[in-house]
Amino acid sequence: MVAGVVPDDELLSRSQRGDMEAFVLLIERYQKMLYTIAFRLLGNSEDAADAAQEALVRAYKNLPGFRGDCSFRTWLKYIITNICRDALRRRKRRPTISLEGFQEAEGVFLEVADGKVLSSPEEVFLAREGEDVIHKLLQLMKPEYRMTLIMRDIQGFTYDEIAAILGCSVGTVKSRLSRARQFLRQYLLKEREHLTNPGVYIKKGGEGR
Amino acid sequence: MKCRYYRELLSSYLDNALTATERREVEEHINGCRACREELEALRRTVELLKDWSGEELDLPPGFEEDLRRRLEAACRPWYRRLGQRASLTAAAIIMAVFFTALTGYHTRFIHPFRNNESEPPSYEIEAPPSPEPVSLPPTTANQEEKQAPVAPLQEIRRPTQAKRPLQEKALVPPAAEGTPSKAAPSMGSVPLDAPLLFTKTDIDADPKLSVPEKVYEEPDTVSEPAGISGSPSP
Repeated sequence: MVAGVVPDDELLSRSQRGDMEAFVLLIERYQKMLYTIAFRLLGNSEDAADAAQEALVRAYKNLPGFRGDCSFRTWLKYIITNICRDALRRRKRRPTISLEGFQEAEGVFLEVADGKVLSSPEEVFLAREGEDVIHKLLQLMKPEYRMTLIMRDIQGFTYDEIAAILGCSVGTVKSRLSRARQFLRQYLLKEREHLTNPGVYIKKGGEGR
Repeated sequence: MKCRYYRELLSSYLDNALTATERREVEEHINGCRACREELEALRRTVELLKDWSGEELDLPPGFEEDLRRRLEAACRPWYRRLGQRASLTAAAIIMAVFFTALTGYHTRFIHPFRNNESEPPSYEIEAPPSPEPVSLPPTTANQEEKQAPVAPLQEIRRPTQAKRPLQEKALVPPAAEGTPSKAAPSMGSVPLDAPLLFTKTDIDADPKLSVPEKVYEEPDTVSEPAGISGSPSP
């Protein structure tokens, strides 16, 4: 046996031949990625863990049908996105409480984030240092805006792919993306620049170019 | 007004998702509008921030992998069950096939003598039945053994044949010897299931290898297969 990392393809073909051990090794490489994406999309760790596990179970069940048209990673990316999309749609049917003072935000805001009602995006910035401001801002958005933004800027889907997954037109993708980015920009850069010196950015302590 | 229109296009401009004419329009406007130029830059920085921020993977919550393992195993189980069902279904199909071919075999045997006494019927009779049987018989018997394994004691007692028996009774001895023999004595009167327990009691008293075979050989001598049920408890 060669020491070192076994390539995905080898683990994949072994998994497809029914080698459960190989499959476990394979998914160990991706479970964090799946969980992270699900956490960004769904907002809480419980739902995210559930979605990530569901994605891996689904991958396992559909392993025989995976022909390698795309990488295993890309395949998983599609699976988790579909699962989260469905979870958000199911959640959407639940009644939501609307917040006052968000009318001017052009419909980007979500009424209820994570069960807790956040009074304003500004309040997010007054949160303690080290808290995940971007995550909180994402959760303030309506699911369709959040999904579009995450799928494009975090997952790297194309406009066409996003339109296909969400079942909307490319035009809708464009406008949602534009609004979501503007929303984020408004509360991410402006507030930051306001609170600190311009050019110093959130997290990682990196200086802006 | 004009700026508002162009700002809607800035996001797509960043992604190179505009048509050539739209793109030209935006560039022309930006050249002349400082606010929109700054807005485009801010938007670009926002997207960069988001991308940088998302590069970090989160730690899995506690219990994640255990839950995952459990769910994967649960996902496996029906798969195996389905396989098992498939196996038993094919077995059932084979049994049916054998049954019907046997039936038709009998029929042809009955029918043919009336219809034609020529040389044809015997050739049919020989050809038809043997082809399915040798293939089908081994799996069916194998399946029967598997399925009946948990209920084995009853069957074994009914057919106390061959050397297989003493072996099985030995296997029953250790658990029974732990504490049950005293309980076994009163209940053994009618039910054949208790018969092994009777043996175990004698096993404790005397040499198991000696006592067990004796009983085994007594029964088959006196009674044949069907009578074995009533015969076993009486001694």
